[in-house]
Amino acid sequence: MAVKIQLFGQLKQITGVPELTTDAGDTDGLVKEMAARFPVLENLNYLIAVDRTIVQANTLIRAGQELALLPPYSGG
Amino acid sequence: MNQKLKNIFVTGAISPAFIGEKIAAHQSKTSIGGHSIFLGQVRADTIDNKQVVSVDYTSYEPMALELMAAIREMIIEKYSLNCMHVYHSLGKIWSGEICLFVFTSAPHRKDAIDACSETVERLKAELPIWGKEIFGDGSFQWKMNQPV
Repeated sequence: MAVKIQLFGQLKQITGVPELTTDAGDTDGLVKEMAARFPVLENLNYLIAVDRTIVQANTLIRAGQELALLPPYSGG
Repeated sequence: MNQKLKNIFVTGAISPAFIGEKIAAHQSKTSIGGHSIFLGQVRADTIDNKQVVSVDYTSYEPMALELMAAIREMIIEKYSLNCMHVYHSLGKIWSGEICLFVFTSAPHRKDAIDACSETVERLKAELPIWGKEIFGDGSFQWKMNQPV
C-alpha cells in the first residue's frame, strides 16, 4: 500500500521532490522512514497532516489519505 | 463544509491600487463604523552582511484555505464583524512590496482593530505558508516568524 506524501518548504528543497510515496503503516513509522532516507531531517522539526489535519499522536496511515509534511510556518 | 472556500491567495505582490479599491467597495455598507487594516511588507533584512531582496512564498493551499475559513468564521462571530477580507501573496515578492492584506470592518473601532490583530496573529501561526528569503547573490534561507 503506497501512500503519497506531499512535501513543502524546506522539506521539498532538502529532498528535491514535491512528493514521495511511503509504505509505512503509521505516522511514527513514516518519521523513521523519512529519517532513514534523508538523515538531515533528524535536525528539522516538521508536522504531519493527515487529510489536512495536523496529527500529534501516532496515527494509522490508510490508502487514499492525503498526507503532507509541514516544516515550521512563515507566512505573513 | 460544502460551500466553496474563499481564496485568500494572490500571485505576486498586493498593489496599493487593489487595497484602495477594496476600501472604496465598502462605502455602500453604511452600518460599518470602523475599518482596521494590516499590511505586511517584505523587509530587506541584512543577515551576515547579505541583504534580503525578495521572499518567495509557497503554501499547502487546500489546508490553508480550510483553516482560514474556520478562523474567519470564528473571528467574525467573536467580534460581530460586518466583514473580513484576507489576501496573502504567493510567489516572489520584492522587498518593499505588500505580501499580506487583512481588512476587518465592524460597527465600532475596537472590534475592528482587535479582530484584525487576532486574525494576523492566527494566520501567521496556523496557516501552512512558507517564505524563502532570497539574498542579492542568489543564496537563500527559510524565513522564521518572530513571536508577537
